[in-house]
Amino acid sequence: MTVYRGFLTITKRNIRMVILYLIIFLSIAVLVQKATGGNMDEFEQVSLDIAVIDQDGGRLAEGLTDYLSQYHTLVDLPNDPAIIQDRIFYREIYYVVTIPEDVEQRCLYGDEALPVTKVPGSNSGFYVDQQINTFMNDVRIMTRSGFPLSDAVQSVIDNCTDKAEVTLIDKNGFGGVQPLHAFMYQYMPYILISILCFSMSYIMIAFHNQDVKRRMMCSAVPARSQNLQLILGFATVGGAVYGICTLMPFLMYGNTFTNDPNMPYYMLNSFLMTLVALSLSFLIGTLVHSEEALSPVVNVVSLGMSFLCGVFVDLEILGKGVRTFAQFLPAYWYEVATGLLANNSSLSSAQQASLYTCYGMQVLFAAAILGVAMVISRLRQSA
Amino acid sequence: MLHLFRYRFVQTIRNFSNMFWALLFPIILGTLFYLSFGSAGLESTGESRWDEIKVAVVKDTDTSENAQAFEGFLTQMDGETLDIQDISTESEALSALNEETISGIFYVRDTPSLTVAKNGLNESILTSVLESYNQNAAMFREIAMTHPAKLPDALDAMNDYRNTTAEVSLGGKDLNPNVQYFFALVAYACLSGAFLGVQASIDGQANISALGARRSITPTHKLTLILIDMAVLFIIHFFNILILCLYITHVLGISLGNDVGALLLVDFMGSMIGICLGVAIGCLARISYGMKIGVCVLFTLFPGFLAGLMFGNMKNIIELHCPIINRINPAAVLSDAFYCMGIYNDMERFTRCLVILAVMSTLLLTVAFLGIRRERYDSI
Repeated sequence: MTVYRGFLTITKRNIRMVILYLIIFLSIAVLVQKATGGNMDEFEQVSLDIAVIDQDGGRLAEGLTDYLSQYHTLVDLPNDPAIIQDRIFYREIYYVVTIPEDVEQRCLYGDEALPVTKVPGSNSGFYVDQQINTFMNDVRIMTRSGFPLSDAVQSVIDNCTDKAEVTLIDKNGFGGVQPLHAFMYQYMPYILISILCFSMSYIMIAFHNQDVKRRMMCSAVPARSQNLQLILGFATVGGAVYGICTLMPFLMYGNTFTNDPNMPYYMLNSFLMTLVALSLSFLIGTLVHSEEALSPVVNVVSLGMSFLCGVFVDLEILGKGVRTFAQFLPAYWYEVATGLLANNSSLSSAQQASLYTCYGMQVLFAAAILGVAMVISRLRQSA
Repeated sequence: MLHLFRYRFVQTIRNFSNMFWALLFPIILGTLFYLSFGSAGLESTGESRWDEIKVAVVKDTDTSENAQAFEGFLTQMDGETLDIQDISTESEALSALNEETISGIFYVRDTPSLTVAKNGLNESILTSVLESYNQNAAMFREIAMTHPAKLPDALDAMNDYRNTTAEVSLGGKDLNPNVQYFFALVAYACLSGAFLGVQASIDGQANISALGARRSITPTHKLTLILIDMAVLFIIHFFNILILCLYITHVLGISLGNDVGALLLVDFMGSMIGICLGVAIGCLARISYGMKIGVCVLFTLFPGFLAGLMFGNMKNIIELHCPIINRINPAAVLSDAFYCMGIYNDMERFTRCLVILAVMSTLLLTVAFLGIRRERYDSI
């Protein structure tokens, strides 16, 4: 077990670096969790702080203001671009709609649109757009049907208070909302891939040192055994990283997580992802021989795969084409499995079958990536 | 002086793998962003079509006028927003909902209702479909009661559904809702100059590299060496960032603002802060090369994360709870500079961002120089 021991020695020598990566990526994980509470997409209808700048002052403008105030908190704001800019910049308001003078003629009967400004990069504004659309269109329909404007406005405002009858079946035991630990598992692939690829590939580079390589090649230990010992070394470090990552949901959510009947499935899923991450790091370590190229390569792999496979953004929000392409990446299957587990507290037989498919795909990906890495390292040796 | 510059330049350029990755990785990432967010962005703003949402419709024996109207409405929506599945009994529908083959069940009754199984995007859309039906139904009942003769006009007006809002930036320009990811990406690419900077500082330290040893025995002033290293790296990095910006604006077609001069200025300061950061890390910490790369990852990826590289909303959340972080995080300052230039049209804040970056660069450089000045080796 000389190679294995050597591997551990090198790991020990670089342990500070491994710990540094652990700290970086685990703190990213904890921060996301704390800062957002799992609601990163903002696609639910929420009440925002918004401002209406009324330059018209007529019944329609007043009505629109009243209508919006039923959904949102209105903030008073002078019509001064500098101040508006300031407030939006510091996120004190999320949405500003300007009602121009003579809005009736220009926007209700004419074709002009109401100018709105939103906080860049926030999706919540989409719902305010929809609400304004509904209001303006409904008022137009009413006035076209012969109602005087003020009646039309009043009736639209009255109608909007009716709530639709929606029943939620609590299928996952968390009121239909994704539990927080599920959110943590959703972006676990990024954490695992980053930590393992950064640290393991660096250790691999040490093994690629010409002198070390030559010494190993002329030793009595057969190549097969050397590789197996290397893999064992990987498994040891991978196991440790997996253990630490798995501790996180336990430490942060304790009982909620342990009471989730899907807990073992989550853990198995992330274990398989660890295998994928390990074989990826083995591949990167085989391909990349300079420390400087390591960071860009790892970033492209970890960030790229995460974006395409729905690690940061929910899979259902990604376009159809992206989703189809993502099926050729292992993290996609991980995320499908996480979605299944997050939405159902007990799985039907068909769902179980698809869960096992996801597991199987990850194992296959891990094996395939490892195989490719082995072939490449063999070709390099004989070259 | 000039030959130092020249050889440093040649030496850096010849390190092919470094150059290749420094230039290419933000471009690859940008492309991947574009692929996943380009379409996601469009979908989330309703500018492109959603996949139709699979639902089941369960009819009771209710034959009231309301129920019939609702059924008609759903049939009309089939193939547009909804994809009504061939499921007729409630038990089948419930099991399909359980299997997640459908997102919701509409009940055709006097009071139409909806059943969903989770709180997600599709479910929100279904809810708003039902709400808008209810509102329209109430409205049409009112019209039918008060002005029955005008019903055709009302239907006409309804078919002429208009988009009544237009998003404008305060500077009056149109916005791509996902441009923030690209701002964060350019900011991150700028900071990644730190990796080049670390390499340079290592080539200057005698106890770490052979090249450093050779360079340390020259009588050339340390500051001259650092400045030349910096100048070379800076020029290379600046061009890399320019290529990235060109790629984003011209190939991906995402506008980073129309003011070319301002864009060049931000890129200039961004490249500067990246290189300075790297030189400072390289000079200051007496740690192994691997650790230096690790520290570099810490000081580039983490600020990138806080500025919204992975979760676009991160910067907004920080602005609300701890705005000071956004003022001292170079990635956030850079992305703010892009905002001020491209979106807010706000030259005052733009200037402030640039000044912050300049001050930071100077500080880092001072730290770097203080770190390695008077370094003497008894024996090389």
